[in-house]
Amino acid sequence: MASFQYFGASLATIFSSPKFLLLIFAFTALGILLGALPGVSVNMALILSLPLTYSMNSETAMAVLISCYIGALSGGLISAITLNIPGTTSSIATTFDGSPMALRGEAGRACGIGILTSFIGGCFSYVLLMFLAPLMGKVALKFGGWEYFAIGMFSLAMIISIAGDDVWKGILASTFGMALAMTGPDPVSGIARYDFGISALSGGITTTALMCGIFAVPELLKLAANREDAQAEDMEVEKFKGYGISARELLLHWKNILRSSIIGTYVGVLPGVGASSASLISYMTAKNSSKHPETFGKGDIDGIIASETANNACMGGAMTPMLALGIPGSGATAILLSALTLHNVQCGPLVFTKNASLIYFIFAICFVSNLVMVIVERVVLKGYIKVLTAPRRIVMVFVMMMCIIGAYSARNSYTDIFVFIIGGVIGYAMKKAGVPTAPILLGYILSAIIEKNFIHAMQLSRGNYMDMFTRPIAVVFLILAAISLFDSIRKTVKASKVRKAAELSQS
Amino acid sequence: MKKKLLALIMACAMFAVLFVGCAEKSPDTSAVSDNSNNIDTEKSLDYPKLAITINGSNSGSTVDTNVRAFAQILAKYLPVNVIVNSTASQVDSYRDTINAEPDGYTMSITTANVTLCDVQNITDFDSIEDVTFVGNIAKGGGYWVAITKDFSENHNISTFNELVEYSKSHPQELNIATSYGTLNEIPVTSLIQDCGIDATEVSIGAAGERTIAFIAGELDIFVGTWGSISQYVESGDVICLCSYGDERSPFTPDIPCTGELGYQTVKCATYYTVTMPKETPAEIVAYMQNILEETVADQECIDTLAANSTEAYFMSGEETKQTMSALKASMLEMGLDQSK
Repeated sequence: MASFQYFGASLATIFSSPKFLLLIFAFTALGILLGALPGVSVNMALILSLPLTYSMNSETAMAVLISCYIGALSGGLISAITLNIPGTTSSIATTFDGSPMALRGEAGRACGIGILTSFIGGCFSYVLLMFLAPLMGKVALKFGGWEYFAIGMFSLAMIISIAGDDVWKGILASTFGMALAMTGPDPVSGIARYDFGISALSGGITTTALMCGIFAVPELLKLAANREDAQAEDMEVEKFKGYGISARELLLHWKNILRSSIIGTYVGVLPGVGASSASLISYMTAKNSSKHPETFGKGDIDGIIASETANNACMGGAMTPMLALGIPGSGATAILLSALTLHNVQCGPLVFTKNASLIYFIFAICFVSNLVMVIVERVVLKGYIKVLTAPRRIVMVFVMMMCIIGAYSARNSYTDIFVFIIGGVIGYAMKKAGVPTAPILLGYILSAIIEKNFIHAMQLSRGNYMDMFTRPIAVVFLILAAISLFDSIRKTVKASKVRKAAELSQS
Repeated sequence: MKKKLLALIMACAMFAVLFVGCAEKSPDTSAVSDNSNNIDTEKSLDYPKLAITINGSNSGSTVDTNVRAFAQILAKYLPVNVIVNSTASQVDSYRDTINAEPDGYTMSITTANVTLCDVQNITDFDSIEDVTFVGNIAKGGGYWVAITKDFSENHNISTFNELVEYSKSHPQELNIATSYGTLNEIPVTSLIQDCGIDATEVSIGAAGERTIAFIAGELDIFVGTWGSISQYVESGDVICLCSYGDERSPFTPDIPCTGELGYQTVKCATYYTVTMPKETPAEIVAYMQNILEETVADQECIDTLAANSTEAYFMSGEETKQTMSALKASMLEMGLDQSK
């Protein structure tokens, strides 16, 4: 089995080389640090590392970039849990249960569980990647415009149900997010839409500015509004050992971990869908499968497990079309692919024969980086938790500064700072009105997938809507979307009746 | 006391980050080329003294990759740092340069994609008259026309002429991908107008999405870069019928081109043009032009760009302007300014 030989040789090379070990350690740690900083996305972390690799050979370059990628992807959970501000879009779903756990003093435990399950999800997807990449690549080819449109609609239906007992608020928030995504060039004609004559908006609104605004600014405004409340100042953090969860307790959640790993890997294989969708779908699936779905959103560790396992499993999945088809599945893999191309490695169906040693070296890097990540992130976690004990008003100033830098540096535009501020004010107003804000950002992300693929599919089917119903995968996802939406409406109506009955009995 | 100390440490860290970010590399004259004209110009101009910013394209794209690789080598010939900005698009990059101070410290490296966007009224500027052209540094690898092996066997097509004939006998049945505002649109439009291919244009955004739609069988005709399909051609899953252009591509000398098959073609090479704000002093432009010429001649630059199927190719500022003007005129002649 040549593949095992290549993999074994690669592992031996890495572990016997202080250079590789040092690079993996340093760049994983750097990735974690950057991923944990609100305002610095995974893509930005890779862009910062990319120039360093031009003078390196292909193995060293991959060690640097992949370590940084894995670190950044996982690091997002730290700020998602401790500050309720996702470090990356893939950690949005982690805030739903991570923040409530942090508020009741279990920030360390929540982060520890997230780190451990990130590691497990990552390992699962890398094993699949190693043995089944060409096969998994073929799965990606089964998905066309209608399928992606259906997945987008399914994810949208799931987002709406995040609103809990009031589906109309969920619809409002996600629709608003989709409307924001319409700003910028039309996907077909290229004409700028909803830019209000401001040239800086003709390129659209950046995800980083919007994400930081919606999550960070309301936290600051909330703090300012509750200045007199001394308890809001400091966050208590309970001591925790290890990763905050025993092996036995972790095994009790094996179904959630396995399911989330599969969802994350599978969604990651589909180019353009993204880790944010993977973690969301995994979260909602875990909630719907749970015996106690009412605990989700209130600090249930199953929510964190589902989100973090899926978003790290996504990485292995995203590398599948990159390696097996030569097509980047995400912005981050586009950067990895460009780095490979610059080092004369053409990815595609022949890469496993023409560049087998490098490809298995990449797999080995993934495993080792994942291992380093679970150790290093646990170590730096102590430092992050210590920061939490500082007065929140000081921590938030630092966070705001990082968010502003992140918002600006996406494309060096002052307009993005205004987007950050205005988005934040709108986010605060919506929170005050009881409208959840996560659906805004998720609707914004999904809008591109839905609109672009709908147009693509309609053009291919010559304007015939009914063509959608001849595609079994698309039909399945649309049915699931309808069921999810119907269920959300049913819960809303039921909750409304219960409220009215309670009001009547009180009066 | 502990909290105050922590707050003080954090404040110091913030300022340290600010200072580091604003720091400039001290001039290293040993890295500057030994061209006496440059040294004279530099002495009289007092340029460059600050870091030079290059506005590129969206991160991860072929253009961005090439720009970053080029910038690394360019930095060897300059006494200052070179910073590359990724932007949302090449149009944003161009606009940022147009709006920048004409002091020689901001420039863009973009392709004719901007010119096409200008022709299609997607921009709020004139891509030729609103900038100063410093030069051209590279030429993209061109475009190839391909079909899948399954399509070839099912329809008994193995040459470009057979594909043209099939499309004429089955009008609008075949799907060919393009994307409004991308250079891919030029060869696709030319194949339809000049070569007579009768197919339905489907708008699919990025090159990767077009490739996957083609491999999955949703698109019948692929028009794109060699790098996107080379492995599939080698594995036999894809058959490359021809390259688009008057001459065979140096990357695929065995594959015929549309010119030699008797079809009219349009020049659509992906030129990588370097532009500065319109009012930039001529001496600064001349200095930078010399530096670009030296960098393009550097073997490392040639090899690095070739790895990405791009040819290092220098043209002066004036030549570049003439070439881009001619390209803009041919785009207008092709009717690419018509909205679809």
